[in-house]
Amino acid sequence: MIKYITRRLIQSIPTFFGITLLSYLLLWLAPGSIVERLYLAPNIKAETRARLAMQLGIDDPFHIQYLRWLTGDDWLRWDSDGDGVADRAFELLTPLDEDGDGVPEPPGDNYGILRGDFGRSFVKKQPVMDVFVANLPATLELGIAAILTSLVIGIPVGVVSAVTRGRLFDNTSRVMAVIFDAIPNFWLGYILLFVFAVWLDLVPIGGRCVPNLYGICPPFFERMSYLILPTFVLAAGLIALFSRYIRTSTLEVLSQDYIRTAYAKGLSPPIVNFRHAMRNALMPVATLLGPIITNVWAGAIVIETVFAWPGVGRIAFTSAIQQDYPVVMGIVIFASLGTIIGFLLSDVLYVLIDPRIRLD
Amino acid sequence: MQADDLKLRLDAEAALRSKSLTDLALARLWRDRLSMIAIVILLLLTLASIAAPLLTGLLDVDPNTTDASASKYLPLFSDDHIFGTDNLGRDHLARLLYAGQVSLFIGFMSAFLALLIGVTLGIVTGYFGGIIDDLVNWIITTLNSIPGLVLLIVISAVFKPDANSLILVIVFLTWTATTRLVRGETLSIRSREYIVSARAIGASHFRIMRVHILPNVFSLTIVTLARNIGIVMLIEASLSFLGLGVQPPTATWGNMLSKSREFITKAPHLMILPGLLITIVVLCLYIIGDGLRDAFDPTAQD
Repeated sequence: MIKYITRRLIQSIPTFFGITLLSYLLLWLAPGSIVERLYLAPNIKAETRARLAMQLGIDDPFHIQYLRWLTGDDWLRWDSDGDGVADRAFELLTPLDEDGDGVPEPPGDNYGILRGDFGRSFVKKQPVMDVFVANLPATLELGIAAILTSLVIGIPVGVVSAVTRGRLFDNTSRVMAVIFDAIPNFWLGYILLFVFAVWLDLVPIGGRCVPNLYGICPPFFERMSYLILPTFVLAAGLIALFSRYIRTSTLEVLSQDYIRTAYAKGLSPPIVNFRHAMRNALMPVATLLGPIITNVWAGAIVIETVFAWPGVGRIAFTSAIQQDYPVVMGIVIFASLGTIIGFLLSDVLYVLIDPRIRLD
Repeated sequence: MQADDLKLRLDAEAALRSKSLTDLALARLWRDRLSMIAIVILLLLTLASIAAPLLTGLLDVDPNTTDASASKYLPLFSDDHIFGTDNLGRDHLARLLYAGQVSLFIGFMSAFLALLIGVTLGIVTGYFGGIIDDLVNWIITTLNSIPGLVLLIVISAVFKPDANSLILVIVFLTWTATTRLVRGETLSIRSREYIVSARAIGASHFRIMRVHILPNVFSLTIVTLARNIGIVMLIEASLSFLGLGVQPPTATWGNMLSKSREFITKAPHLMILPGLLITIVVLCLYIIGDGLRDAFDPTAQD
């Protein structure tokens, strides 16, 4: 088992590397100069601009910029005697005195993303990590609520659907599943907001709690009304996914010999269906964990925007619009890490719960 | 007597031979009432969008004529405007039809290009293996590990695509699924006897891929095409809704939704109709996709 996990972890290293390469390439290809974006001064003098560009390192070739972003620049040029002036440099990549004015450039202070330093947000002027950590709880809350809701609804619907195959419940639930798959989730969100918040005035129009001075929300059970609609909209697609999956796997299980044996022993249908069949039918759900995490990330962006939910998804969207690249890239990498871990967990989980699988 | 027998046998063989998998599948699809209804609805909507200039001419409305007088936010079934007017007094039906052209074009074109790339790359990597295969596989795993919409939003925000470049961006993110499917199937076909014998009589790699592998993987991919068009249309709608897809004044169903949310209390139909059209089209495509899958299932019984 440990060998298997280790192998899977090693396999995900090139993937992670590819993700960082792709996201840095996007930033590098982006039109417009970062200097203008950072300092918002269209008429800086040419030499000032050149100096800023040099200090930011955006004139360097791609591989050096990428390396610096990945591993930081504190090892490229550093201050060994503690007087605040850089006196040593990794001359092969960056000379100590890069612009040749006789004064060494300031020492590097960036640790690089491999050591968890994603730089600072252009807009918020605070570390990307802080922005991410501040918004993560809201997204986790919404994501976990949606996954739990979809499991609680999707699994029984799938099992009952399989048991009543071809009858009214089965047909209705299958049609509903296709429809919920086809509805654009943002549209569903707005229609529900219109009906339940504007028209019937049952739930608040959006947000996570009553706005207050501290920007802190009370525990979730005191503000369920805020959570209901976004959870349902985010869960709608997942319910469809689960019910379809569980239906197929239950049908497969129901045709097996041990189910016939259970009936032959004289057990009642509910006991056979829910005790014997459902346990085995649930196994494939473990493999869905990875896709679900991707699904929730993607859904979070749209749904957090619709419901003004202060989570990572909304930050990703607003940062992309404001071209706040450090935040955007940070979120791309966090989201991808989440997905990689999700796929890894679903593989491991599947091996753990299904004793028929041997890892040799 | 003997001649009759032979004739009968030949007829039976001809009847058997003429029914290829595709013929059988089409016959099955023809009998599948739900799929046929979906195909008809989809065809009607597509034709209506293509014929938008003609239809709007007949109804004497124009998608871009604004009306500053009192005829803003007209409700459904108004006298001159069957589907009402929007916030600038433009005819809603005309805009929906023209938007349909763009939305459907993006959906069909992206899915088709992704299919083309997927089939080509899938066959080549699956057939040759080796370093190209490893490289393509690495790219696929990488792209699949980044939540698609997150990446799409970043790309769209950075490069601000129009309708045509948006197709390329969507293709960049969606070619992986078909490639993986085709690659897997090619891998299993590659080692079969008839491929080995084709090699033995000196067929070139290109000929083997074209004549012996392509027809066998094709039905597999055509089945996923309908569903993929639906997925792409939902992606486009989400992007345009967020204001990152196709930019106004070019209308798509997605960006019509994006504008209309500001007027939801004043004119709910502006919000409801584009979303309903997306839902209907995607639903039809999913139903057709399921129908095709069942029809092309070689284990199905007639």
